[in-house]
Amino acid sequence: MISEVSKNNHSKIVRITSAKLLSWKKDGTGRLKSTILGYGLMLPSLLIFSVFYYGPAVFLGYIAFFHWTIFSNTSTFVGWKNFEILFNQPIFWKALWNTIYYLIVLVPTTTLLALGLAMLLREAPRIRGGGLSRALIFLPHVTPVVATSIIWVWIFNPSFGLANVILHIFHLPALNWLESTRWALPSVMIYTLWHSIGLYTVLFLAGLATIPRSVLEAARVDGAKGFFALRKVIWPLISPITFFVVVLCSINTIQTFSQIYTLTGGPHGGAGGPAFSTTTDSLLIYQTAFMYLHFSLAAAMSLVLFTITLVIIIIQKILADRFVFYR
Amino acid sequence: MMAMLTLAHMSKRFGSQTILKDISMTVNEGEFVAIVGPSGCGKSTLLRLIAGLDRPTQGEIFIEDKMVNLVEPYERNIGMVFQNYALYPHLTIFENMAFGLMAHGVSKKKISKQVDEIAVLLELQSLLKKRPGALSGGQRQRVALGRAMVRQPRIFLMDEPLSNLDALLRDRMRVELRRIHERIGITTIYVTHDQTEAMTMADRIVVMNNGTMLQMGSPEEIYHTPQTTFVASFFGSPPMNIWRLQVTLSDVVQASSLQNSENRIELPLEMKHLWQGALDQENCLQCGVRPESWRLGGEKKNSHVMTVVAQIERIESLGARKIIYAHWGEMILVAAFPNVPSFARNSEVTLSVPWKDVHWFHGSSGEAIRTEEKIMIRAGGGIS
Repeated sequence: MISEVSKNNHSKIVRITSAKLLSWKKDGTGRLKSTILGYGLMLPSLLIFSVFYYGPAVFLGYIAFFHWTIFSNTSTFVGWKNFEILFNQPIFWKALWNTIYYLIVLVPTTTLLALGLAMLLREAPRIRGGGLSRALIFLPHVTPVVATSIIWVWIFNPSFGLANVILHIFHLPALNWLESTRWALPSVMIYTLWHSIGLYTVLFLAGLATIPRSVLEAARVDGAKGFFALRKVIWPLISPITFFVVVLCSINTIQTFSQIYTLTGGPHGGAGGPAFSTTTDSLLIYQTAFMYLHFSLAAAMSLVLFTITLVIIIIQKILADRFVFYR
Repeated sequence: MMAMLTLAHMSKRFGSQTILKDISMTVNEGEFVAIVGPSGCGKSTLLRLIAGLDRPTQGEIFIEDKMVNLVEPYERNIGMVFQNYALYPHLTIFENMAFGLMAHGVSKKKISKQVDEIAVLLELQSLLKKRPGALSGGQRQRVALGRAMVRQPRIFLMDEPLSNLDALLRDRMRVELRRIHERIGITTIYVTHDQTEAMTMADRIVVMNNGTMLQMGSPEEIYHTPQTTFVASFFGSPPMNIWRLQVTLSDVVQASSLQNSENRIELPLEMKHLWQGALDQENCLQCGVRPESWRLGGEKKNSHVMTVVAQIERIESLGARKIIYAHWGEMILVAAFPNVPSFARNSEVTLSVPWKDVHWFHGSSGEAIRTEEKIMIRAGGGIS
């Protein structure tokens, strides 16, 4: 930093001050000094991260290959044994499938719906009170998941919940929602969509705002209408935001825990039901570690989930390099 | 000649703000019309209304005798060049130019034929595979032009297309645009704030200020017979000298004189019909003289010329000509001379201008006093 300033010669004063600072050393050591200063400034947060984040992550990698319990000081190296046990558990495969099902349905739905909402709300601030629509769509995202999940438990109540009332209005058969093995996970998806759509819509709105007005007008003069304009002009120009939304949504989706736990009766011990239909990987990791106290097994599962997440994001990055256009 | 575009009593309001007031004009087929005015005068809004990007609050737009108020831009058969070019940054130059045709489902073969044709005309062949980000300002400008041309529109709309280019390139593109217009002969409406562009390129000029259309005419008409003091001072560089002067009737029979607080010029009686119409309530009129109209020297006894004695304050030498800024009483006088001997600062200079080259405007409204007959001045008429 200091050497940069001395090079730029912006003003005499800056030059003199920096020259004084560096008078006892050459330029190269000045840079070293500023590097030390930089790391020094990062140190407090680095320490916090190390204790609560990087440390446990490394430790997790360690216990995944050991037989380790919280009640004893000794741990034995077991190699890939934990993974072997894991891959022989049907519940592991069931949870993995639930996670992938949840991901494959939710990420595209969220992305497309958020884009659609953003397109609709784009012009909203131009009408009186239209700015409020953005606040309203974002509002669910600032509510606590556990609190609103409990409200949604009532909405999904098969006998007197709002969800079935709406189905009834459209002459559709009533569903058992959270109590049915088929509809429990989709119910969680609906809740998650409601809770998170605002965030992604606002991200898309920010992306849309970066498109120059005249480019859209040029498309209008060229006769690009509706879907053609969206596909050929608007979407390519917000492809970086789309990529960001897809990655963020994927990570959030894989990590979903609170709403599954709460919606499926976690406090009463039934989380992940009925019949494991909502048991995703993150829920299973929690249960394995903190209910059944198989920490090593949970650690191995976390590593598997981490690998899957990494692979998904790498695939997305490869696709992005082909389709994302950076201005 | 056929009317390609007609605007009838068009107004545009945004909320309580009136952007355009009662604009009416006709543009003929093949004409190059420049809309000129200072920024904020409504010229870009007018172009957007013609393009169909905005709707007029009142009045009608006709393209080839068809009322198009409610017709979408792409059905109006127009091509538009935007000020910042508005190219699609993610598409190649070829795709940029082909976009309009693609949107209309034209066959690939026909698209590539049409794009190639225009690319040859605008010398863009080597750029077709590049993206706009890799092009220079002048090249982007040509691509924007090409994109507008590919669909073979009936009317070209250009919104300050040269304002983002540097001076040298601007001069070159000006010639280029005019050359292209002469070759393909498409009716062109060209918005600019630059009077030089308008004067050099347009067949006819529309002058606007504050949302109203002040005058429409050929560059010569605009220059020689400006209808308001605004038009008079907007065109020409340096701008016309416009002075508000009082007319005093010193002797009813003998003469009248033009005066500011320190100087007085006798007015020939024969010109009474001119200045009478120009007088406002304070007996004032506005009198305009182009800097180029001044001659050196002059005699006060000559009734054909208006003669003033001014104090030189500043001299600008532009190589081929000199511009003099001088004081005539409390008024500032600007005069331009080609190749004249050097002037000295703070010296007195006598300047004259034929009365027939003086423009007369109403004292307060600034509207020109029109007269068909040129001023006849009787020999020996009184100028003291």
